[in-house]
Amino acid sequence: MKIPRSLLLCCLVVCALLGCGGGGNSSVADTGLKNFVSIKVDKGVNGDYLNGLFTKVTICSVALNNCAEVDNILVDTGSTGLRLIASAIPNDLILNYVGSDGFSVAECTQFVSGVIWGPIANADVKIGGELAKNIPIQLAGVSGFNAVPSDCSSKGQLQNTVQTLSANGVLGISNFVNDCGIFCVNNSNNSYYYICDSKGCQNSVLTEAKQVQNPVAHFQKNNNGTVISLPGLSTRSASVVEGKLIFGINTELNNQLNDAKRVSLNSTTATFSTIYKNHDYALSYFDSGSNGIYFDDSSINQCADTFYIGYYCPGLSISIDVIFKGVGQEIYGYTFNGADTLSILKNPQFLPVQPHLIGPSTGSFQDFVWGLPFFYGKDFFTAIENKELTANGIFSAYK
Amino acid sequence: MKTTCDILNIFKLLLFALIFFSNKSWAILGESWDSSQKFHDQIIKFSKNYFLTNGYTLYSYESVSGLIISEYVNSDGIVFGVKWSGSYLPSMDKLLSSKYRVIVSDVGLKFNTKSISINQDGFLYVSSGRMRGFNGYAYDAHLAPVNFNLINLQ
Repeated sequence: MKIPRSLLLCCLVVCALLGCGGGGNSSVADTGLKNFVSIKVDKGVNGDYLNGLFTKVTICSVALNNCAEVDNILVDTGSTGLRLIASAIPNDLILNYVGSDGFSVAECTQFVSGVIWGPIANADVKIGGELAKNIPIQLAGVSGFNAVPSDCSSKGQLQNTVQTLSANGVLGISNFVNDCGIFCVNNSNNSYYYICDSKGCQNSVLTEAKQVQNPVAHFQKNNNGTVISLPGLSTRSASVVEGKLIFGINTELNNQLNDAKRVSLNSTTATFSTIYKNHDYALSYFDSGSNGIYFDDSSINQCADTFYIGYYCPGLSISIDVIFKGVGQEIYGYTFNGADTLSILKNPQFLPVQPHLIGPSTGSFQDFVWGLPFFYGKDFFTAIENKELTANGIFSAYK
Repeated sequence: MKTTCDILNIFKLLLFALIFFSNKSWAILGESWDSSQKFHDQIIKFSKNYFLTNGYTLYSYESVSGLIISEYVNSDGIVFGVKWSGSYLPSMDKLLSSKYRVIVSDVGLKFNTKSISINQDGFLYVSSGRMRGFNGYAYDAHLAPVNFNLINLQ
């Protein structure tokens, strides 16, 4: 069948205007630009992840200039810095550990789901078309660092393998430049950084420059933040969704804030307020590394099934109205739908893209965790501290 | 007016408190309050409050690096609740006995790096936060006083 030329032209124009194939609202085509990398939500490397956002990075030895690409890296706006499972890196890629005179630096990275233990190494990190030269990253599961200090392993399950982490690594792209900040500069009992020698490892202070760094903050040009651009779903769930992680904010045509809603954040915790049912959840945060939207509401039934403990099962889908209030007092209304977890995960059977996954938080009624379901259908901006863009404070934004 | 002897006694008391509490440790959920293990960080603040009408005693500690721990102890001297907040996670083996740690380590369908909530057979465990700021609590309803309101722990 022959398609009329005028119709084809019309389709191309519409396609260009909509930014076909991009993420979220992706209003501007990024033809010719290299400040982005592809991202996807799928079942992950172990085949069982729910709402896990993944990308790939290339790391290079600073001295030898040989490189390796590593995929299935979790994209996490709730942590800072690149952490890689050593088994996902070829043996011939030799990275230099941070340290000197027989001492090396190691870290006990802490998530509530578990800990990552391993040395800090310097590497060149390439993500999409951007390069962060010679920055500290963390390696996990490295031979020679098998003896995990007891005060680290006692904080949670060790996640030093692809099997336990369910990813080849974590790319932390929070609002912060380094992972621990001034706390690890001033406190020798910081519980994060250790100095190790042949006798063992001791907790130690570490300068901010030597801490694990947000790679984006070290890109040459597009270094003041990121945009996670994911499409919305026309179906209740899906097996895969693809989008873009764009680097820089207001630095290129494809990362303009324009009319995005800016939520200013606490400068030390990156939190803001969510007002829900007239209650102020003052420690709320945006977090692509959380797989659901987590908040406390005793009127919503929690799932009784042991397998689904930690999620809500309201029976029917519910519409939830909230108000975002930034630390600069800006206010935005927002409505989202939460679904019955049992229903959405059983029918169809366990699809990894779940935009309506909700669950209870800590019971303190203080934190409203805006996990990956919030990111679908949006361009989500994370502005990095200590840049011209954040002269008045850090913020996140969405449109 | 304080005499030199009074000042010396106060100094001795402060010295004793410093030595005692620098070696003080947390108690463990489900165990006697005095069966505690040594904590690696130094304690700089300590308080003890009786809530006799509600049947429990609350011990609170703050470490030199800012970790705050509260222990809720029933009238039999058993820890029925612990609460924490700080820039880093506390050592769970100093807060939970092994039977609770087994439950926590088997978190099941989570894939959530920032928030965990477990409610199993009267044992409640919630932990939330990110590097630079964590908080959480653990509680065993079977050990708690009858009148205890969970809001006091949250």
